[in-house]
Amino acid sequence: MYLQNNTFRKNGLGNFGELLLNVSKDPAMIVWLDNQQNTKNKPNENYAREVMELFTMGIGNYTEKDVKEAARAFTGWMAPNGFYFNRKQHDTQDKTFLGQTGNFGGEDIIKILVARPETANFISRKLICFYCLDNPDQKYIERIAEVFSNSKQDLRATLEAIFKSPEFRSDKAYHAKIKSPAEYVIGTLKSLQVDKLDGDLPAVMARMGQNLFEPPNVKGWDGGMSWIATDTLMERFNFAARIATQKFDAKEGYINPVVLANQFDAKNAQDMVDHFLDRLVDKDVPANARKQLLAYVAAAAPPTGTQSSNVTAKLDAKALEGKMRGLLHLIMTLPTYQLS
Amino acid sequence: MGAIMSAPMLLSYLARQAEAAPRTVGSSKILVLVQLSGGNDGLNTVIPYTDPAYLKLRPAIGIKPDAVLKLNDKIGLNPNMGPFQDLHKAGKLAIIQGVGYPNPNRSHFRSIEIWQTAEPVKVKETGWIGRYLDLANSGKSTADNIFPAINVDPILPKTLSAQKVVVPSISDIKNFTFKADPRYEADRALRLETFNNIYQNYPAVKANSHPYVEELRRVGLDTTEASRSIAKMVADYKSDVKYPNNGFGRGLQFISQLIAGGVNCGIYNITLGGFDTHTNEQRGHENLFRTLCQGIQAFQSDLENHNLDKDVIVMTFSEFGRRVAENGGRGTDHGAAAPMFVIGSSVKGGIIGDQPSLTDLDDGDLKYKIDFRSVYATILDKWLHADSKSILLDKYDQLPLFA
Repeated sequence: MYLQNNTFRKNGLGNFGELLLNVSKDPAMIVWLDNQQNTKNKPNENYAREVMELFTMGIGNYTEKDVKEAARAFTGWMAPNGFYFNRKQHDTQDKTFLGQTGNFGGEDIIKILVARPETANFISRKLICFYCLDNPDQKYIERIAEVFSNSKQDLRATLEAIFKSPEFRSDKAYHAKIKSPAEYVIGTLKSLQVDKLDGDLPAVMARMGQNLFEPPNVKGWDGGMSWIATDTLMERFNFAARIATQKFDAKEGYINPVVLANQFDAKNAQDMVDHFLDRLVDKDVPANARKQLLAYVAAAAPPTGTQSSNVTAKLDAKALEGKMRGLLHLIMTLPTYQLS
Repeated sequence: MGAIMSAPMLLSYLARQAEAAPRTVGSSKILVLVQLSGGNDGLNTVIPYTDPAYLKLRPAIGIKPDAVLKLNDKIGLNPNMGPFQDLHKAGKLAIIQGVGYPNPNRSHFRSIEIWQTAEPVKVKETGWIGRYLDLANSGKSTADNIFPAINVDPILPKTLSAQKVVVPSISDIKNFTFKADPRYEADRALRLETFNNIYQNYPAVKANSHPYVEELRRVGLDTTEASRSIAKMVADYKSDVKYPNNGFGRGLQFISQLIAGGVNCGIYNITLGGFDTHTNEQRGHENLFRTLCQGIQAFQSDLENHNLDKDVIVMTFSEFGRRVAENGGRGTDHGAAAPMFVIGSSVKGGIIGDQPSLTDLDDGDLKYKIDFRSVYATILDKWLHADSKSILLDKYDQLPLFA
């Protein structure tokens, strides 16, 4: 999986055809999708199907016959210790794949797939969904797909087109995606300047539904609302509580609420609420949420026992710290904080 | 939970929750769905051991007749399914043969969606149980309705996707509580109250954007409410039954704990993954079937000990069976029809339907004999006392699943 991750990093902004070829020949793919068992006399269809359904054209654009023919073309691709082409196990008869006939090998199948218009649409859609918004409209997809095709499947050019598109900066794309657990956890640590990384963070993300390097299946994580169920959401709330509660010690690198508050010159409840709503959720909350947070910070309650409902009253250091922790916890539980 | 509540309303609502009466024995029916993810190979599960085509097409992975756990003179179970043989003898296991649907799809993702939504032709956003829940809970107040169903997995499957109700997912009771600094309980209570007050009224700020805010709000509210009421109910559960020591076993025990605790919930969902046996199927099946069968047997015994067994049935399903002929890796590729199991003391045990032919095939795959929606329709009508036609949008044959 480490090698595969390197392959993604190396080819991620390059040519899609090269990326697909390298990923297809990557031992992780060959082993995981059973191509080691894909032999001349007994073809195994696993990779042939998934490369079309999940990595190029998408479902509905090929027949069961295409699956079987592509499987024959991938016979002999093995990875006993790095990629190895086992000539003896390769089927050298003609294959008819998506209307073309020839003595195809795996490379030919990948070339044919990469050039298909369905692939341009499929990959463009995926990139838009990952970086911009879910459920993009067809016209937007087609505009990006044109860039993908015209640039001979150059991913950098395709991404540039997405980032420069008006849709990318539209209201529709604003806070329109749900943070993945990795985005939620790592994003929180970065924005609260937490330097100390606890060893169990991967386990925390796994309980939120994202076990890094171990996707639930070859399709990967679905994203969107599939991240959000009662127990995965509770994990997020409790991670927020933990980050907000942990003992501070500047040397240890955990959050120090007083330092954070001082950075913003936050002296009273109103300063704190407004500064941190700005910093963590771009002030994108309804009036009621702000009102409730102000009430929480100003309320007389343990741990501080401060008696004041005046949101502009100056807080002493102890009150500041106690209330800051609660405030950060609560902001991180907001619906908007789950969004990116 | 669609309506926005004011703070005083919320308080009375929570107070009502605390008083909500627990479910009593015999008062309603419970369905436990077990999804076998990956596409279980039906032919090495319920084995047509006397059919000469079976071992001919599966020379490497076919189960030899003397190893098969025989159910009658034609079919038997995989050798690792001993507990299911016992359940069969006790008349508590129904096997439905050759279940599938027209024009089978061999993609994991599309086919499981078809099974979950009960719609083979077009993509549907609601699950078959989700539509049942929407109907069964219409008109009920949310206070009586906090657990329309419980998903015992981290990810909510489309089966339970509904329009009007929120289905909670709870797989780990220990972590399912709203935490804060343990030194200051009063502060925790204040945070929780603030959280609930915020979530009661959280409209999207910009029109024409924020597609997820309302759904996040609803699930968030459900999260704190569910954790509050569930912790109390499961506290007294005791059991001597031994479940398999893995996620599936613990999940089944948790379901049993919820049922025994009187949680008012009619549908539970749990998943066992790993059935995509393209290679070394026999070895894979050994673990899978032990986990599945020992888990369900323990669950059944646990319910019997609590005198709850007559109220509960378990149904297994998978996205597809597998190709009849084995592949080169001592495994099988994606196929079509396969058997389903329904288990419980109220189930009429036995074998329903015939094994599809191993030689008259549809592109290398078994031809299905019973539409999966017949199984759903029977359970909806006869077990859950719902109207299957309004949920499945058509009428399907009823099967003799219940006495």
